[in-house]
Amino acid sequence: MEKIKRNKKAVLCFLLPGFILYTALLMVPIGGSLIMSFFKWNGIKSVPMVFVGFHNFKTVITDGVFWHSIKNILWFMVLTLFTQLPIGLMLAVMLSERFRGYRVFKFAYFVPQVLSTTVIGLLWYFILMPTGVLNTVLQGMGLDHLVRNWLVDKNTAMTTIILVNTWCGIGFHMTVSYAAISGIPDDVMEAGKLEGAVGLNKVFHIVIPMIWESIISSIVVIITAVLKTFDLVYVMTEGGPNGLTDVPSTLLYKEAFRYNDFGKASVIGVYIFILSILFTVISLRITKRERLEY
Amino acid sequence: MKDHGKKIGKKVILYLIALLFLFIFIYPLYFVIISSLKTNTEIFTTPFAFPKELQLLNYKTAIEIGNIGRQFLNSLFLAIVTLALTILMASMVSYAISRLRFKGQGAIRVYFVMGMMVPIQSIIVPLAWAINNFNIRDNYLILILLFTASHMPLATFIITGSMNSLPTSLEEAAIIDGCSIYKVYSKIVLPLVKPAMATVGIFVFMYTWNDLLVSMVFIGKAELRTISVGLLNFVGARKSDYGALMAAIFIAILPPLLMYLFLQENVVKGLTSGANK
Repeated sequence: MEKIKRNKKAVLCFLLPGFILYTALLMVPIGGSLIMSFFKWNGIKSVPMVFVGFHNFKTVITDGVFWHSIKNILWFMVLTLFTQLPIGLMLAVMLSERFRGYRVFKFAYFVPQVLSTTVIGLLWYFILMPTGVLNTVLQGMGLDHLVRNWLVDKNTAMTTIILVNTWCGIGFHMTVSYAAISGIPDDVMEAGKLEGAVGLNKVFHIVIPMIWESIISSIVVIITAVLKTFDLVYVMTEGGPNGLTDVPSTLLYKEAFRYNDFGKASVIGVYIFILSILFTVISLRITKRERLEY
Repeated sequence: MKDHGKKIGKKVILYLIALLFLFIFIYPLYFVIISSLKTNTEIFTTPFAFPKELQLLNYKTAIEIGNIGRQFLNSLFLAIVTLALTILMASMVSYAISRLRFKGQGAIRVYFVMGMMVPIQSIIVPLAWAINNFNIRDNYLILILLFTASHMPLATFIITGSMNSLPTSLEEAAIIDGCSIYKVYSKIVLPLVKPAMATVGIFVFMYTWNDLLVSMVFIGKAELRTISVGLLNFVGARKSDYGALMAAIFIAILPPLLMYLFLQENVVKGLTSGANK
């Protein structure tokens, strides 16, 4: 048996195709990105790359536009964490009451998750544009002072995009939390009831501690997903007006394909990669420490 | 009696909140559908009402001028081939990781999981370099391989997990009976991990169908555009023909939506599978 399982030829047959594909098209490019960040290149084949050392790293890190995009992405993360997760959790708690018709609601709440970000961006763009649905409704209700150009106004543009993103993801976190709540043993719930844990008390003292693992994974998913945000911002505002709603990934895209500065774009890619690892590690650390307190 | 009243009150509030969220989540979809059948002036003056007269012209414009039909087929082709290739490659790698014995097995497992941390934007620049240097723009084969590579980590993770939870006794009996390791993989193990393959298939289909960034960088020719890229171009070209744009959007969401309608539980599982890593 062991001999058959150790058969080198079989191992190679099963492993090699996937390994080569994955290495050549995902891992090597990551390395390539790191290498390219040390060069200056305008994307034209006949123009040679010029080694410039850490020059690109310095230009990016001293660039106000880059820091603005970092500020945006941090605000993105914080607001998403404090809207997507609590609302998702609230809906999950609500649905776990299993009231009549709860399946229909559960089905409907997940719908945005199925749609592509491109479609969602366009859809909400038409709802939020100056002559769009939202402003029409506000005018109809006599709330003219609230009417504005939601995606251009510097007070609302970024937050509006973030809330659209929240809208997309609530169903995801609702589903994950709902599954976790369904897994809480009945006797735990019963014991809690006897001790007088009902309503919000039940949520904070039984449900949340019992599903803490799933909440952690939700937090990690939110943080890593926000860092990868590109489609929604690109579709709704292209990072504009004037870089107002830029996030690192839209900046990367523009540096590469509008300004033809591939070195600078690579550096932004490397920073996104580092941030993604950093935030994952940090969020796992923090949530682990908190778990020990229970 | 008082308790009873309180219970009804609680129910009413519960339903009100549930309905409010139902409206929030479903209205945009409803808006697309009714608007795709309306005239341009009707769309924003009565954003909640049904169309007075069905405007099927919008769909005609979307298909004839927006070329949405062609893009629909392009995306469908890419998504289905990517799905099949990802399942094949990932299940083979998973089989090696889960069942065979070789040096560095643990390292290989970690190596495949690592890819889940890679944001696709980080590889866009080297990709652009490769496109220019190897003349691979508009090459669907490379695009499919690229999509497959980017889905390998999660797919391998899911299928390996499923294989690890299977008992090995059946396979060992088959080997003793003289069954080759390749037959064991294809005839015994694969049928048993069908649910995991379905999960993988759904998320790969959805993510490929919904991709924007990679297709945008990779595709130049208009007739090879995917549906997401096509939608954006259509919006750019017919900025104020809202009815036709809505019709195009509706066509673009049909496959994922139908899939969700008919395979509800599986779709939910596929799209939330990333949460368990």
